[in-house]
Amino acid sequence: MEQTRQATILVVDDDEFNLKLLSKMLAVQGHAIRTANSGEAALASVAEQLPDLILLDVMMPGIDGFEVARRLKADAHTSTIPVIMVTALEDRESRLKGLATGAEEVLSKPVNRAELQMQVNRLLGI
Amino acid sequence: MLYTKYSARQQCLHVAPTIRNDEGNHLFSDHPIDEPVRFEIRYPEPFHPELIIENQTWHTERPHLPAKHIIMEAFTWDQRFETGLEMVDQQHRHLVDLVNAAGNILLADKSSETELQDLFSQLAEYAIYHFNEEERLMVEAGVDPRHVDSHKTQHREFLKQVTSMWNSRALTADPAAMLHGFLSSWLTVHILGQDQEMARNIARIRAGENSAAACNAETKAVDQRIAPLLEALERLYHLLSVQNRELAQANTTLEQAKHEVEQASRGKDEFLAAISHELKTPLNHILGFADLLKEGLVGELSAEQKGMAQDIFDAGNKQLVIVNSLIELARLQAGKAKLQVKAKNAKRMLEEIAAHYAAKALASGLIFTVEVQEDLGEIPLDRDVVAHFLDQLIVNAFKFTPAGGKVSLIARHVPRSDVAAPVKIEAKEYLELAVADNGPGIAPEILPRLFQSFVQGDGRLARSHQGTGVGLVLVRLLAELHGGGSAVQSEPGAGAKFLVWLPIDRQQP
Repeated sequence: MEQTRQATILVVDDDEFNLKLLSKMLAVQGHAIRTANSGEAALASVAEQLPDLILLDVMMPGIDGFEVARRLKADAHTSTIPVIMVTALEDRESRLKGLATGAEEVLSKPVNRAELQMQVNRLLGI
Repeated sequence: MLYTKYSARQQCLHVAPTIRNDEGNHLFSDHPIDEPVRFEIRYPEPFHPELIIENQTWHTERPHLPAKHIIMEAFTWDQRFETGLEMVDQQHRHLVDLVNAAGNILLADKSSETELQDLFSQLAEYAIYHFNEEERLMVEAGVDPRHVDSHKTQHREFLKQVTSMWNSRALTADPAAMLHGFLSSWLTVHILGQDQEMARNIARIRAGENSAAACNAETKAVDQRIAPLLEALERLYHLLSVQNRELAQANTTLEQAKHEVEQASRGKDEFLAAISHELKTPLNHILGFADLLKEGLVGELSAEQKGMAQDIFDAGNKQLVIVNSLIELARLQAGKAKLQVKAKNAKRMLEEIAAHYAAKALASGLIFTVEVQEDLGEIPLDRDVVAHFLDQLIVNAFKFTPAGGKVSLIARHVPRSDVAAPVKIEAKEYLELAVADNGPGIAPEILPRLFQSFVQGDGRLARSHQGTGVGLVLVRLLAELHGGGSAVQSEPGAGAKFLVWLPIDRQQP
């Protein structure tokens, strides 16, 4: 996989294996990966240092992915960071709900490696 | 003269009438009284408005009351109904006759709407005429105005009730029986009560007594006379209210049961969603990691290591197919799958679906042909359901047909008589979809069980082609979901033909 720019991507998921798998799929593209295992941790991580892109799971205890995306998009400081949401629900409704938060893309599980990599490249302008 | 025997009390318990003539012989003994007769009774307001039961239905199917014992008791003109006013008594007699005649006609067999209307008009007209006459007579005789007013109120109430019953007859299972029941019981009570009171008042006035004093004197006498009648009516209403309460309780129990079923069904939904998530998530992790390994994305592997990563990936994918089938099966068996039928150009749709299998056939060294009748036309189909069961059948055929063999998808119109399986929806014509192969065929003893349980045709084949046999159960359930049916025809050594029939001119949604 060739790429022209290394980006910092924040991967957010409460499932250990998901977190590792999604991180690896992006790491093999050469990106720097940061992880967070909850909505709260994700917001804290963003506050600490802005990532170039956020891959955000929807279903999490506490602050869920929808709410994290809403807060990031409502804050002028973070609203320009592209967000890809990952949902286990394959229906149109949850896709629309994800897009309504202002997220740039919604992918459903299981995440296809090639599709994820293409969407990341598109949103990073690579 | 025919009389319908009738009592309000029995009206609610036994509803199929036995009608007798003057000699007491059953006139309609061949009337099918064993058949349940439903009718609804709406009771007049003047008595106990709080106990009025509207639109209740009673059945004759009461195990402790054999139908042949059902008898409706007397409503016949007798001395008790004489008020002593000749003109009024004649009118009453005529009214009772009209009601009885109506009862005989209406209760004997189902009469037409026109007959019912004629009868009703006659009765209503005559009742209005009679009421006017009574009221005129009372005023002429100088009956106390309080008495006249209360009597008039009953008349108006009667007409109001009959009119409302007439208007709501469409809601009533047996309007004839209801009207007759009401007319006869009202008439009995009214003649025995108000009319006899009126007659005595008039008689006393004619005998020279003061009308107000006559009214007072009569009130007590009337109270005594009507008391047993009212008591009987009260018992009836009590009985009805008990039944009503029982019905309400039964309804509550049913509501509860319904609620529990809904809960259980929702529980099943949640369970399916949870189990689907729990089974698929780790499987997708396995597939994801195996994919990264076999693609050499986390470091170059030896050829053998790569091969094993590929094996993990392939085995995982096979398992995913099975898991998906099982979840789909559970969804279908739980009645959770919804059919979305749209009129489709069937030929085009089938060719599109079949196109997906061309490459796979080539790779397996099989000849795959599609033989679709030219003029299939527009057929109401759920594309996803059709594609799903065809996938099961075609993949199955590919799996069991050795290289060099032939698999065909054949589609045509057939009449109902050519459908060799039970169907969910009756239609004149069916779309027959067949997937035929020239593989090893299926032993006759296995054929009948094939769509029923998780059976694979042959133990040896089952070992060489891993599978659960869930596919054919899915095919059957999907065909049924689509209103159709499925079957298999095969002989060992002569290939197998799996058939699905879907209704074309759907009679029901």
